[in-house]
Amino acid sequence: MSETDHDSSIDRREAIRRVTALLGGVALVGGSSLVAACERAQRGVGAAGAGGAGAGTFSAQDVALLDEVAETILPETKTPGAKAAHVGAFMALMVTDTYEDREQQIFRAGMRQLEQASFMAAKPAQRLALLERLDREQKAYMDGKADDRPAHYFRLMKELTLLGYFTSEIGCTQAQRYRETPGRFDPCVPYAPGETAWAGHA
Amino acid sequence: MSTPKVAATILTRNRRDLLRQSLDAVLGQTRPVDHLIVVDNESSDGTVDMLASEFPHVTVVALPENQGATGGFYEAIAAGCRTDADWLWLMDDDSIARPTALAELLAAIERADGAAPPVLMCSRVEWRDGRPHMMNRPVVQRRGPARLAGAVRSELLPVRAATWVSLLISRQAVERSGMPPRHFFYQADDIEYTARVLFLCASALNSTWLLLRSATEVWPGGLGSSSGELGHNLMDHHFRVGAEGTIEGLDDKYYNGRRPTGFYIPRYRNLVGDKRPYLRGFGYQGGASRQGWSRAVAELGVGGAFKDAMAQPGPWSIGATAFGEMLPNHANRVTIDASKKDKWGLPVLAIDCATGENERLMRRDMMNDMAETLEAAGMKNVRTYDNACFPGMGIHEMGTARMGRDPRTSVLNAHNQVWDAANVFVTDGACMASSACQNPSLTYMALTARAADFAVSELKRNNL
Repeated sequence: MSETDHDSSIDRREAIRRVTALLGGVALVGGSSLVAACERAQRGVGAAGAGGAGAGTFSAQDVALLDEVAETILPETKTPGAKAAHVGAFMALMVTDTYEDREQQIFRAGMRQLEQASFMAAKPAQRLALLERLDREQKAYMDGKADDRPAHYFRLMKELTLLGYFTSEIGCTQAQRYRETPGRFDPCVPYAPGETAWAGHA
Repeated sequence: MSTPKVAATILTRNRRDLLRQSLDAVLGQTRPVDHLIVVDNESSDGTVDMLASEFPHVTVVALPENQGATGGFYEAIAAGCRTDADWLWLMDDDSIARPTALAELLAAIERADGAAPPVLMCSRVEWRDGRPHMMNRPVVQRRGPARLAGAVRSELLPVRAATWVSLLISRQAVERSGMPPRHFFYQADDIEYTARVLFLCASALNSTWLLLRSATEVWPGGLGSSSGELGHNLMDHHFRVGAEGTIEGLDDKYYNGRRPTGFYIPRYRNLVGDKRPYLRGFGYQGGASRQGWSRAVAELGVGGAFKDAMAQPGPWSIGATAFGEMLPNHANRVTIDASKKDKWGLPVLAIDCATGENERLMRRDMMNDMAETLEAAGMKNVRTYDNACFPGMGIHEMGTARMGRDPRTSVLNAHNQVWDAANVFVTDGACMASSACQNPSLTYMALTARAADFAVSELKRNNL
């Protein structure tokens, strides 16, 4: 293992640790085994994609598809949507760097299914209807499945979209409230419906 | 004082032609040397034969095996001490002395105005073009205005260290202080530091690693090992167990800003009359907050309304994780693993450590007590968890050089002094005799400050 490989594996491990901390301990379905992710990183199987069956780089078309999926899940409202936060590229990175081979295959097979359903050619309302159907499907499957069964691809896409968006600069500072430095803390203040949450901090 | 005698010694390896020049330069000194010795580091270029035919009066020490620069100079000093020389003049085969080099060194001894006569003199070493040779610049003693004033008067710089290139050392000093270590690395890259007092505060395992690898010629198990406890009784805290629940209502309340800290419940088990089937106890670290966006992962929903709802705070939840004490156990230990090296080529620690029955029994209370507490306080959806824990996860490693009252059963005394070496102090987590259940860093800082205060007062009393 070269010096560079060694250092980048530490960076990646540190990055994964921080992302998990951001989630406040909420376990992700995909890449859920932090230890496995670290082992992957140490084997040097990463963004370069020289590794197992599920590995490989994402093309610009792949990222564009993921951007549109993310934008349909978290569209522009009075705040910017997931596409503005480059969530497609984030998903590609997370899948390549932290997913097990089996999860990578599930994720990619899911992308092929969306392509076959002509997701990119569909109108926004059609896209939303399709993803609502997939969301019900994944929820029913995930709530009923045994722990050792693989995750549904749309659960993987949805959680990466949420993680990517709500930890992005746009998600933290525009969709939520963000205070960069610690300062005054009021433990109990009135809350009016509609006010946004405090964003987490690394 | 009679005229001092000088033995010149040259260390060589496979540089026959350079050695000739070096020898000619020594033989051409305005102040002749009294002895001339060449130490040959297993040359294969016929150096020894050349010496026999061209320099028959030179004493040759032919080493059967290359011992490197430091091993070679060790032999050179030993050979010099076998003569009647008062001073040993050391150099490599690529050092070409100016004709007056030795005369100037000897004259400088007379000029030096320190309280005691000098024990080591060095020349200014120049490259062929007359500029200072950077690799052979001495380490200059910069402290002490009086010493520097004396240096100006005598036109001599006080030095702390110099290289083996025209180095004049006193035979008396060698006899008083002993021979230099022969295992040092080539090129004077190694420097031996000495100190009256040494503080180890390198984090528990690194301090013990240093002790295990120090003074093994005196104590085979390492510095501070005479009790048999060095490296033993490794501890950590065990955690990742507790309970959480939700709080109903309070939807019209929130907080403002970044929470500085959570809550802490100090240990209450096995105290004031409480008696459990295990020893010692645990504390709780917890917090309450409104849920954030991550609740959205498990909820049904996509689209704009879903997004805006998930950007708002969710229901209140509260939880706490227990931090438990781990008992010291002689079997939990670290040793040097000579078969595995780190990136600097140094042997690493082998760690053999596990939690035991006491911790297993304690974890039941660590989990269930918080569930009872939350339920009694009116929380809903109370859920317990035990995500398992092994030593190292708490990153509060401590022990392995424990403090104690008896040198037969501990590594350090009450002042963090190594029983076996009073001028060595260990003041990090290695000193801990038990782990308690609190975060330990402040304790280490307090112990360090206390030990430093003790060391200073002992130094002032000349007890160290």
